[in-house]
Amino acid sequence: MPSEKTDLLQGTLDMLILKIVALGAIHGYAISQRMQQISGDVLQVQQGSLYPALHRLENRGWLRAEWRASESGRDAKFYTLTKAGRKQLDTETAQWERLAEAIGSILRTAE
Amino acid sequence: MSWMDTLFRRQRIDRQLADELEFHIESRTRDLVETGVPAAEARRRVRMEFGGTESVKDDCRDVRRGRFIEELFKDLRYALRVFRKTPAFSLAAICTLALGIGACAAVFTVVDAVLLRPLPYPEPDRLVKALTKNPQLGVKNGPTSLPDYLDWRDSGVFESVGIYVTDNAVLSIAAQSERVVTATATDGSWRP
Repeated sequence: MPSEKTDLLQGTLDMLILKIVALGAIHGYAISQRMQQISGDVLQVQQGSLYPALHRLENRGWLRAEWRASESGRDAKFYTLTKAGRKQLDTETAQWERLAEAIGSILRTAE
Repeated sequence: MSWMDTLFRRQRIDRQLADELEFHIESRTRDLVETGVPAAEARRRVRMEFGGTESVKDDCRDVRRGRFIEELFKDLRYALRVFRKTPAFSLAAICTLALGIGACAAVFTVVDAVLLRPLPYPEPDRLVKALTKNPQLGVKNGPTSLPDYLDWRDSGVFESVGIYVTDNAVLSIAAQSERVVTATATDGSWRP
């Protein structure tokens, strides 16, 4: 397990949450776990950022929340992506790719 | 009863928020215990990771509050647009409200000054106005006789008693004359 943990860039948390929720209905705890797993333990989201972000995305109408039984039997708040959320994810992904591409080109420039 | 809806909605949202965070804490603790961490140690570690459930809740509530303000401005902008679209109706509504509120305010100003506001003297609750009743003559709130006044003054019931009688007079200054109300009073009327 790499010991280096990278802080999330400002503004990327919303996009990552939307992406993970797009994979299927999921509750907050599983989102934080999946983010850590998929990123190979590099990215770790703090609960203090995760939950306000989830509520913000729900308020904007990008996520829909629903209470239902979790795998442990207890009721949990499951989030799913709305149509508007899907559109937002596509927009943000495209923007991110363009930005990453641009930054990459600059950094790859030979001295 | 929309304010009751709002109240209950807020309570429900707060409860759900608490449940959601509690679920997270419980799941994380269970996962730690499954990896071999003792229960007490797992709970302690999760609390530390979480760093204050209340502050997380506050941040979530702020998100909703921000939304509320946004919606308020949207509503205001919409209201202004409608005003501009139907000026006659808007003007009638505004005038009705203005007159209604104005009349209520005027009436209340009078009621407040006459009935609600205490007298502009120190200790107004200790001031009384005494009147005489004479059922035989059918007098309800009549004037007082001099002997009655002397009896009241010497009875020790009141700290100080004064009587006055009002009259009318004409006040003339230079070429101007004005009718004024005068009063003749005993010294008890001015006792502090």
